[in-house]
Amino acid sequence: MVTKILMEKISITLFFIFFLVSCSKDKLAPPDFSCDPQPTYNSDVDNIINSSCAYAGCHDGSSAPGNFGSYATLSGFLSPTLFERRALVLRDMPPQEATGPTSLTEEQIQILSCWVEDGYPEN
Amino acid sequence: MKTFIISCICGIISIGAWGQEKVHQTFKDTRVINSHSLETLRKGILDFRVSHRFGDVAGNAGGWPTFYGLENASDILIGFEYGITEQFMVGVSRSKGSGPLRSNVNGLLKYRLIQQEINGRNPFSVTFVSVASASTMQKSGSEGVLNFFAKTAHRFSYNLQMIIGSKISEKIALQVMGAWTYRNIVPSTDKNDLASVGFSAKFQLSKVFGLIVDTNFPISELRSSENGYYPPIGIGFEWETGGGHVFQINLTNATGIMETDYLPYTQSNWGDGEYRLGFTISRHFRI
Repeated sequence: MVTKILMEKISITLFFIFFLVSCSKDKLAPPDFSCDPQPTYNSDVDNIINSSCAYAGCHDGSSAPGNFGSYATLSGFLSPTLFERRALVLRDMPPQEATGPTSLTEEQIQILSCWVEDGYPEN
Repeated sequence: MKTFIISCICGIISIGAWGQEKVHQTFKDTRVINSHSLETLRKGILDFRVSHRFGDVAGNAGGWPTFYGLENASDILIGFEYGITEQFMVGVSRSKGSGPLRSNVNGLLKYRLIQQEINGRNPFSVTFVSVASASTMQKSGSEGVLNFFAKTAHRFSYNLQMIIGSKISEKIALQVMGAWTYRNIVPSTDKNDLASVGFSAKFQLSKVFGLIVDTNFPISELRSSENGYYPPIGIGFEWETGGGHVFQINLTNATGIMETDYLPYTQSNWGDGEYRLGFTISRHFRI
């Protein structure tokens, strides 16, 4: 019984010591790229999406959800929880197992971030 | 500060005013749906747990193409928990994770300070939960993402929680939660601290079958629906199949299973069909 109580106290104390020594209060630096000129779907984004997402066997209306081949069919997925979350926050799209590109370049991510920030303009 | 916190913890666990007739099984399991329940494992019980959250049932990412989410996995957790005493339990688990920090190894300490008594002086149970999650994701080469991991500490997130609850009748149990979640690294527009409150309830429909509901509300102007965040809400059933086996099945908009995941990162909305089927299997072994 004494051993169990001792284990309790040791476990809790170790946890809080661990918590305190492994604690930091950091933020990512704000992105330092410019959105000028402002990208639109027709100017820049369609090329990125067609080459990285909407190719045969993926988001072209066949295997993965949705057809990202046009602005009209892509627009249903343009929300913070879908396109933005997967491509820009989690960055798990395109996935590692994709038959096409398995990641976006930093330049592509910057263009898409500006496009999302501006409300997904078509033109 | 460190001495003060450690002294508080030691003081709390040295309180020894225990009554004779305790209320047991306020909830059947140590979790309600997403939240911890006020229950701790009994002394000497090893709990093997498997939790799963599928993909969106409806909405743009659900429906027939994903067989209503059943072909996707939002999060998966496998873990072991152990009751060191009647009031204190520890646990370790691995979760896939659903937020920006994934492949998590999670540690758990849970201590029931006060246990409700039958006709006693304690009409409530009070339980403290502490969780630490360490992301074992591969370090990214891009500085602009959370898993760049400039410091090892950036892999860690924490959740501390107090639960107050009561079995108010043989059929109804209620609890409220107050929690503090801390992430060592956050995006430039976010805050490291996140407070939240929650509410859970169980309605026992038969001896082995109960209806459970579970809600959590992050308290932050950054966690609004305008910013794309929604409170994690779940509803489900728990079924005690006998022999130390509890099965839960639920629907929730939370994609993550751990507190350090679903409290700061729930961006799925029930109203848009972004809820998912989930289940938890808990198997108890006496060690």
